[in-house]
Amino acid sequence: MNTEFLKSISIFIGHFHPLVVHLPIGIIFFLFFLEVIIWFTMNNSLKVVRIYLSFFSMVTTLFGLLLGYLLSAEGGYDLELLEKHEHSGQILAGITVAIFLINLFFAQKVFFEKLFKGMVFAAVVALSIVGHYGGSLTHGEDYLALSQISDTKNAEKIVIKDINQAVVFSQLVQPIINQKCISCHNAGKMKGGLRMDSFEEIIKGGENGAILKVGNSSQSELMKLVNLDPSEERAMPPKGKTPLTSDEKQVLAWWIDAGATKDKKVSELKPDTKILALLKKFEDGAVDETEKLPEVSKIEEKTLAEISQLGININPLSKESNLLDVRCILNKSSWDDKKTASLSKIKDNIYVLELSQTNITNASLKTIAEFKNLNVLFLQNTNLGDSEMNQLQKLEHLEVLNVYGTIITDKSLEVFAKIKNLKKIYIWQTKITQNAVEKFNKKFPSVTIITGSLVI
Amino acid sequence: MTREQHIQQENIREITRRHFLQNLSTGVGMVALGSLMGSCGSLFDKNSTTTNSLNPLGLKNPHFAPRAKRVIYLHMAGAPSQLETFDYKPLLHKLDGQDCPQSFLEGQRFAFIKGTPKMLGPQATFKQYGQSGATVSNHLPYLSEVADDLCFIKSMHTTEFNHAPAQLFMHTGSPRLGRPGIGSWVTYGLGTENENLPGFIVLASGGKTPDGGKSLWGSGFLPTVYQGIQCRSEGDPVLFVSDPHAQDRTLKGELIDAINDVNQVHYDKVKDPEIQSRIAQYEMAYKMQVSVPETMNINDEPAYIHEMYGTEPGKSSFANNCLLARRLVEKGVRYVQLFHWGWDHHGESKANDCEDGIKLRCKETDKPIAALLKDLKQRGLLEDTLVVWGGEFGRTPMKESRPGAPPDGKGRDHNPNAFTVWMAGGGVKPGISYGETDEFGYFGIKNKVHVHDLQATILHQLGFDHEKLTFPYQGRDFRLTDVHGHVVHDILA
Repeated sequence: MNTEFLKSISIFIGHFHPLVVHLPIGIIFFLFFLEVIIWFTMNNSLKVVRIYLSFFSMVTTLFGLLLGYLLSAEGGYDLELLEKHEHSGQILAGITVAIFLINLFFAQKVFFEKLFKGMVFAAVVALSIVGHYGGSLTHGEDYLALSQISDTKNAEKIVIKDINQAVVFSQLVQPIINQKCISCHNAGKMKGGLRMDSFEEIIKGGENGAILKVGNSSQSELMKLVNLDPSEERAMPPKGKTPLTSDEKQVLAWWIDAGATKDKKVSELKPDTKILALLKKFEDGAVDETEKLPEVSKIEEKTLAEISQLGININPLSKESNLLDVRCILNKSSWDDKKTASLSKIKDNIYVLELSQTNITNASLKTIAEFKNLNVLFLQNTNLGDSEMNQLQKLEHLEVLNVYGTIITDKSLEVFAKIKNLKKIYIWQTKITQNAVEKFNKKFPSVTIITGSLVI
Repeated sequence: MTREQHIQQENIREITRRHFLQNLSTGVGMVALGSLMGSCGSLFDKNSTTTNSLNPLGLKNPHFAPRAKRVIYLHMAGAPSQLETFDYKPLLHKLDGQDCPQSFLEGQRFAFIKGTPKMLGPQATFKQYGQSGATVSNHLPYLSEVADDLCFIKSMHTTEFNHAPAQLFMHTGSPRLGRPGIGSWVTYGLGTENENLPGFIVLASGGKTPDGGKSLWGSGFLPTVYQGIQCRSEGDPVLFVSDPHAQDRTLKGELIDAINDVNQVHYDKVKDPEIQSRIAQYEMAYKMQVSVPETMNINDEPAYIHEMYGTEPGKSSFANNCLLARRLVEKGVRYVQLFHWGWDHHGESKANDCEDGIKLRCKETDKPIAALLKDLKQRGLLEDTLVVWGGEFGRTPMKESRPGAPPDGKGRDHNPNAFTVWMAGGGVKPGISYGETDEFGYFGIKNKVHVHDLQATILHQLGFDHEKLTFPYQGRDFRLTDVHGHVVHDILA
């Protein structure tokens, strides 16, 4: 058997160190609490378990120590910190051995009670120190520092007011690395000999050489590894950690391609429109604003039951929201303006409304215009004409409007232009002319008009 | 109270001693199953006013706001070749006829390939279409017109290389029998919008049912009300649901009312939730006698629609099924599953190879699928209807040399490592291509998407966290994606 293989086996076993060390932690603390209980209750019968607990605390500590040696062979740790962890671990092991031995040989002696209690206390102190250093190795040295906690919170919320003025490295690249890479590549825990906590360290690379090929992202080790499928062994971040999103990967790649600069601003690197659109997402307030649903109060079940009696499906949009998805599916022909009016009771909660093929007239539009949170409105195949259509302008959140199969004309199209957030209009089989659609498209490129493939 | 706690509480309340003992005779597993069926009504909590809370098909809420309310899944059974449809590999032209490198064969299992096969060049020409520049083969002229509405996933992969298990895997999340189909999961989670129609309908065309059999749309361990109902476009739409000759419908209605009354009395006495499920099924069957023939009758569609889809009323065809799919989602059916058959182009005959065979299948499906997409779009249905197209796996870049087949046969063997699936509507980004395969189209190399990832993504669009849509069975919570699956957020609008 070659030594390489032996080494990898021993490191593999070493990986159980973080698991095994929790055994002595539990046992030693239990030993400690047992002493406290004996102290208070004077229950001497409990003393018989001391010897067993001492024995187990010794065995597990020594085992943990052994695995610690195996794990440290892997390298990639801050040596100073590792040394502290190692020494304090040795001291703890010594204490547990001593506790077991005095239990074995001096249990009948007069000084035993005090000595034993003192030693258990010493073990708890030593344990805390070992644990602290161990934790620093795994989670980073400033994991427990208060300032760090508020720092990371602030750091994650780097505010970018104007993307063009943002410093690419510190405001875009570093935050991504802080979130996805830094937990294993920092001053305390240098996996692969790589630190990523500063610009210089990133440029320097790790024990296998540079991770960046400036100007060529596809040849950069960093991009190769983050682009691997998360199931692959070499993929970074490793299995189980959150992979980079495609947006984040594109930002990194662009930064490398543009020269991996330290202080340059976005505008200085001259992004093309595609990249700029991508970067815009990192601008403050740009993200999620569209995703957020309006908050409304809950409607009583009794009210909902009453309205659904009229022949309409009312269903909450989701478990998280009080908004409603309201659809007339059955007996559509019996739905009329009067019934629409009864929806006023839940007007703020209606998010989706489907009244296609019903018997509503333009009088219903007045009611519908009051549903201020309405997002999607299906009114296709109804007898709606142009009158009162201008009411819909009030619907500031309306994004999708389906009015195909109605008798509306170009006049209505003009009105739709005034609906603030409208994104899509369905107008197949209406009286709207091709000419008007073309004009509209030119004037309002952000709105998509779906005319249908067949103009009858 | 969480949904699970609620179920548990209902269980305890509804299992009487008698019920418990009765069910013991059929196994303890049945106790859990049976009692859950009744408590499905409790799956929908607050605001659950719209339907009888005991109706297992009543409307329920998804976990978060959905982007899609309905799904049309077009399954090309037999697995269409990605190399003749969407995944163009120019290098294969050059390699055509050469021996396949040994490295391609090492560690791979094939359904049929033995020895060293020859490589096979693309048997189609390709062009880019639309503003998105999507690559589509010349076999699909109609689909290329709507390329800008499609989102291609070119790096799909699966673990199964035989049809039946791969199809089961695609639809139930497991290659073995016994799991519910994705349509069943969806109806279990959302209920049906149209109480006169089942929530999950299956339409098959092209000669035979898929190799995976009816288990592809079975309800598995979910209550049977959630199983897919197969409808036929020829003859009786649903088998065994029409009345015997000359039976009066009013009489039938009274008969069912009477049976349900008796069942209700029995339910009140023993609180066996299975009885509620039976009552719901009787009622559904009765409603379906009217609603299904009405929905399945495509004769009332205008001529231009028939022209657009290329339908043949009265016959069983894929075009008819596409038109039916639109009619069904229009009426609020949750999950419509279409199967087309005959895409297994091994090349053992001219009619079944990657040159002529696939051309024929494309011709049968191209126009109807493009028409379906256009029609859904102009009606605004694509807004909240998700359309998915794909097979159960892909095909190899090398030729398959099957004993007895013509030596110049142009067939391809099964390839679980790479295939293409496209999606449209339902909040998926239109006009993009996601993932890449290597230069042979043999393996995915970038942004690989596993079958479970696709399923997780479909559920996500319907408003579900695929890890939370679960059903307790045999002592543990089961879900469609088992313990796998990541939502492919990059393709979502």
